[in-house]
Amino acid sequence: MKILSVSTATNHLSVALNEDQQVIVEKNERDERNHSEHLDPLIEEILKENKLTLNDIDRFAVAIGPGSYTGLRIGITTVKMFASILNKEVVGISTLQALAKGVKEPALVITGLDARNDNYFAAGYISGDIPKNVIPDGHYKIDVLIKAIQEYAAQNKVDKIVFVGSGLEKQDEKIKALNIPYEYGTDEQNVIHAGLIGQLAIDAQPVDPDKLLPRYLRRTQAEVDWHKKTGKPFEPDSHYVEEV
Amino acid sequence: MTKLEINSAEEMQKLGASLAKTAKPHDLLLLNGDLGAGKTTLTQGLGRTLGVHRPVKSPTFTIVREYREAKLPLFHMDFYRLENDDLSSIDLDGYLAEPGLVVIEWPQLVMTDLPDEYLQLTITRVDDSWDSTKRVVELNAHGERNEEWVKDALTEYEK
Amino acid sequence: MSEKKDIRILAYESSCDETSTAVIRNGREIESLIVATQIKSHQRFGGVVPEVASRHHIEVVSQITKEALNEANCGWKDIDAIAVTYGPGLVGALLIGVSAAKAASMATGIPLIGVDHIMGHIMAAQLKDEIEYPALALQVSGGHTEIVLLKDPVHFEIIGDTRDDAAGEAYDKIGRVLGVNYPAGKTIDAWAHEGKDTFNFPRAMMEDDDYDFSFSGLKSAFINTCHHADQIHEKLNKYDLAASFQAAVIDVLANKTIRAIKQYKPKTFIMGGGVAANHGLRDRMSAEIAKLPKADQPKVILPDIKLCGDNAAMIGAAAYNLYNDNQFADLTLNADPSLELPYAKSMLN
Repeated sequence: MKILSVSTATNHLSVALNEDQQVIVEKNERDERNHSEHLDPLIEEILKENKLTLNDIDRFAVAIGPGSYTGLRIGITTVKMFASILNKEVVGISTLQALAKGVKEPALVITGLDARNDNYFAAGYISGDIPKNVIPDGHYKIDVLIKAIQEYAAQNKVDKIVFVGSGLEKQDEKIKALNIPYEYGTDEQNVIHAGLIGQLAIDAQPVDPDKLLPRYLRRTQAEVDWHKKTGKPFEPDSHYVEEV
Repeated sequence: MTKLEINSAEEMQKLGASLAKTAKPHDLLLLNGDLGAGKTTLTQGLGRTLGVHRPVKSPTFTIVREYREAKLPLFHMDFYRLENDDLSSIDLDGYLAEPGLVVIEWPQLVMTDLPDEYLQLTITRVDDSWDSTKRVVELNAHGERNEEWVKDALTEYEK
Repeated sequence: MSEKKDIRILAYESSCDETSTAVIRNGREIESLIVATQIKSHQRFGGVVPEVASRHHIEVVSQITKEALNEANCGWKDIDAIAVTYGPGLVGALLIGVSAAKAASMATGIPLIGVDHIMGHIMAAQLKDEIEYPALALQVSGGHTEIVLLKDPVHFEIIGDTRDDAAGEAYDKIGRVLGVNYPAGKTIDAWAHEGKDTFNFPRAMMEDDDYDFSFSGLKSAFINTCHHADQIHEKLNKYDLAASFQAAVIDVLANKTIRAIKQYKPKTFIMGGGVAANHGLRDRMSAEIAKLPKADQPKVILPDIKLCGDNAAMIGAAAYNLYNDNQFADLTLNADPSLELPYAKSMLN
């Protein structure tokens, strides 16, 4: 099975072509803000070099979130359209699970993306070929995340924690206070690799391309304020969009 | 804090020009003031001096207007329409990372997302007549660079 | 005898709070037009919230692609180009249309065309009637107030512009003061028809001999009048306020546009943009042009009211002209939130 996978969830852009478990090629662009300009040409480059067209791809995979909202939408819109037009399968893979897969040794992997003001999009996974989720993907204040790690460690044997992602090192004091051996991810581990997304995609359940949407893990501030002010319940976004 | 009396639209533009002449890459200027206080007027003076030849207009609708052709690339933003939205669709960090000058009107809602160092101008009307162009401008510098900026700009303004 | 082949364009528009797709034949015929509006959502917040807009766009974009093709009874093989608005607008919103159109172009091999949203608004007229060139357009919307000279179907030049706020923006801001729900234009227009111009708001720059506008002084005058009345607990007639505001806007727009028509002698006069749906403005412009000597009267095209707001049909119309001029985009096409039509030399200082 040929899988084309994409991550635009952070300022690191990654595209990969996998044949079953094997990563045939992965291309990365670091610290680029212009995913919109670079994503499609990068995909085309990979296809050309491997003498393939989009139609030869069996399954598309994408980092579904969390991450930069705008970034996520670029990647997801792109694969959603590919799959919808070419009648191919598409899967969304948790950005945080993909990060966790970069850690090979046995450990509790805390993956987190800096969301400013001591907030993180974060989760806990047990390392492995398919990292197992133990602290759910969410938007956490650092103290809440630390507490979740403590609770998990109190009930499970944790020999080592690896912190992977961005902005976690500045929480070193709080992390040290956990009193569990820990280390931070390497530069390679701290970025999202599309090749790993492709590997995770093999066992993931394909979804209807029309329903493939970012997992933001956070409502917009406007909606939260509106909810507080009016007491009205949140409704699925689609209830507010009507064709005229 | 420094206070400045402004008596006309021309003087407001001159203040903008003085800020432009003394601005450096990565400077951040925040403009507070009610509707019609003169925020865009000040930015027009600023843009003109930076060598923007097209009209500098209100960025309310698109939130950001870019003037990359300027001597110091000018990014003029207006967060009036952002309501309580976060900044994720604007990529403010991206603009702040560029070696240009970022000017933000209505920054109140995004203060927690801004860097610690900036120059903030608060423009207030002095009287109630709608056509009066009398204003008081308060300049609040946050950080050493911005204190220097205010000093240089005021020297330039007094020239 | 072989007939000239029909050109079909699939167009996308997502620059603000409508997600829209359309199939347009030969730049003139609407074979399908789908508009998914988010107005109900943003009304909760009193205005368009950019992040919410982007979230809604991505929900519907693949679905309304299929709908546009189905409704036009065609498949990808019948499409000659894929067009998309790439600016100006909200960057996050634009990016959904741009990403979708580029992916569609890549997946199908159909060429891609990037369209300026403002060129699109002006070309809504082409869906109604044939434009003869040179033409002159008054383009008035939430973000723009421009007089544009159309030398031919693809070469446009701004000859007059607002120096500060756009007219539509002024409507929204004074609407807020009057407590009118967003978007305010339609309500203010309706109220204006019930009231009289009693406040005599300023007509800025009306006598200047350029084609520029300024609405920020009018906005300030309006707000101050309301605040002052509040302070002395006087209740002002909202219909008269609306009528006075609208009269000031329309006087300046009409005056400057007529002067531009006299100067440039266009064969066609076009109105475009959301404010082109304003009845007061439509009536006034038609009346003013009818007053010109017969020989100087351009043909007037006022687009259908439903095509004045944002929609993909107008993008498909403009894209057809770009198609004929061989102006195609490649896969590096990016959203440009502050895209502008070129300014005439007279506008640069």
